[in-house]
Amino acid sequence: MPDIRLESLRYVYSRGTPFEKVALNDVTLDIPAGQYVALLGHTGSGKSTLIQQLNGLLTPTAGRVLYDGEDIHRSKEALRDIRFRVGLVFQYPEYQLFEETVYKDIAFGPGNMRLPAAEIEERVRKSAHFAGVDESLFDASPLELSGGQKRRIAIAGVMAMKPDVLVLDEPIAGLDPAGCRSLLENIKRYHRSTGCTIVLVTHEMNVAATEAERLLVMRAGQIALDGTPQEVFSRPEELRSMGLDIPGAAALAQALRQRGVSLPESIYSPKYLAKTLLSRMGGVSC
Amino acid sequence: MLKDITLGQYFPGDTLVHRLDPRTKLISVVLDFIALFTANNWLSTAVVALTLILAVALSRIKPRALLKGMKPLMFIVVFTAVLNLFYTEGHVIAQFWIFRITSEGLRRTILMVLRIFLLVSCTFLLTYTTSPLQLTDGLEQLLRPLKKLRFPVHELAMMMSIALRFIPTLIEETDKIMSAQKARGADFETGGLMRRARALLPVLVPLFVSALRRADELATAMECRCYHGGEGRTRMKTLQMHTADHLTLLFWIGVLCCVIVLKRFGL
Ligand SMILES: Nc1ncnc2c1ncn2[C@@H]1O[C@H](COP(=O)(O)OP(=O)(O)OP(=O)(O)O)[C@@H](O)[C@H]1O
Ligand SMILES: [Mg+2]
Repeated sequence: MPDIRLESLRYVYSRGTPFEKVALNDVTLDIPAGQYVALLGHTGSGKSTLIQQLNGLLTPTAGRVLYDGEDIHRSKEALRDIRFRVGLVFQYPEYQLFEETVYKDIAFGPGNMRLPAAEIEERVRKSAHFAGVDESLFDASPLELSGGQKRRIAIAGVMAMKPDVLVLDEPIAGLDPAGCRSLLENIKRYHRSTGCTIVLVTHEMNVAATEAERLLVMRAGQIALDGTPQEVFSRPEELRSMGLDIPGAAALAQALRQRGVSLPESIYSPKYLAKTLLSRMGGVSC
Repeated sequence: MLKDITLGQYFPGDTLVHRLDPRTKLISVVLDFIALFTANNWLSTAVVALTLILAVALSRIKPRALLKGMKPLMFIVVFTAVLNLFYTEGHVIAQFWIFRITSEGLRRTILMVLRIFLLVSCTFLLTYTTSPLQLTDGLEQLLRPLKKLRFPVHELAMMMSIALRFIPTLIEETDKIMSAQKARGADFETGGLMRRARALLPVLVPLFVSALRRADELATAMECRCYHGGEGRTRMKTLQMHTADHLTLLFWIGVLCCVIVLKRFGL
């Protein structure tokens, strides 16, 4: 599976008007195939702008987006092809459903790929399963379902294109905790079984800490921090200065450290913290 | 593409033009229109043009923004220009094949294009420097006498301000939905007319659904705040004319008189 590479990418909104806004400023970035990346950053830091560059929805003001070593904007055909290879689920995707039935809506993407009907059907079933959409809903109108169900349908619609890279913009915003957890599990399962690259935009530090293997933190259109969760969360001051928080477990570990409990700097997940504390308390295993 | 629609767009600022009472600006636009339609020769048109240039300069609106707004009207401008250029009788100055250009035609064409340009610039200057809210407020105040004739002035103004308020929102929303469907491989650019029309379905359905939802929510919100029409409603910001407004109006009347005089003397 191919890698993505961004080279000195710059993007300016509303160029040449009084509303000009530099949203991306000289971003250089490599995303190797198969990685699970979480993209973090304060509101307006340019996360949504960055991910729309990955599938060529926005054309860079300067710089290049390389997919598999080739510029995605080299031709119209290449650009169209990249839309199917890099699947993008927008923020609040439930507002883009339009077909009469759930089945047809999930089939819209693969239908645009001109696949044979049998293949489409298989993909719809598979992606519905991955996204947690029950097959009994296939004949329902998407407009009559709940917000959470709609979002799963929209995600299934993108998964059905079998993209090599799945990009999700705040997929869990506004979901209840249980729905949130199961959706994240669904995404993880999809990641494991297909081996595709995942880019997850989120505001939830706890989610980023437990789900992703690499964190990218954006500030004012630039990548400010880039590393494993361990590396990123060991710099709480920098994160705070960017209006972000550290995960609950890391904050708790830090508070304990300040009161004299000696704990390693690298703690960020609840599991690991519990383990370390338990072993400290007398070697009880969990 | 959709971003090019600038009508109804407001560029916030704090200049003399921005601060004028919306009624002053509305009346000025009307006076400007009258002046432009009265002006029929070089000098009088030049007077109006100079006034507008002065207004643009005072407003600090970039001329480029005005030109950008003109783009969608280019077709009409070219069309009228061609009609006027080739179909005016008079003293022939150039001729090729079946086309004939007369000096009268040339003169009329240039004046006509100039006039359209000034008309449009003037309206754009109004919407660029006046917030939609102020604009409808001003309009409502100016049309108030019509209320006596049972003309629903307030309702009209309210509808207009809601429409103006939601144009940018809908444009933004359309952009978003189009991006989302493009991400699923929708293709809006190729194919014949029928195919393209059908390709718009995935955009139109969600757009209508959300527009209706918004309308519903807005109606509920208005009702929750006890909106009951214009009767007995007071305003947080009442419009007030200042010296600058009176001077501006006087100035425009001066310009209009000037144009009429210049027209009389046929300069
Ligand atoms: N269509 C647009 N036109 C003009 N400016 C825009 C547009 N979209 C975004 N911007 C600006 O670009 C900057 C980056 O926006 P972006 O949507 O990428 O932020 P974000 O990190 O996704 O924020 P959020 O967490 O709120 O979704 C913001 O300052 C925003 O105001
Ligand atoms: Mg965003």
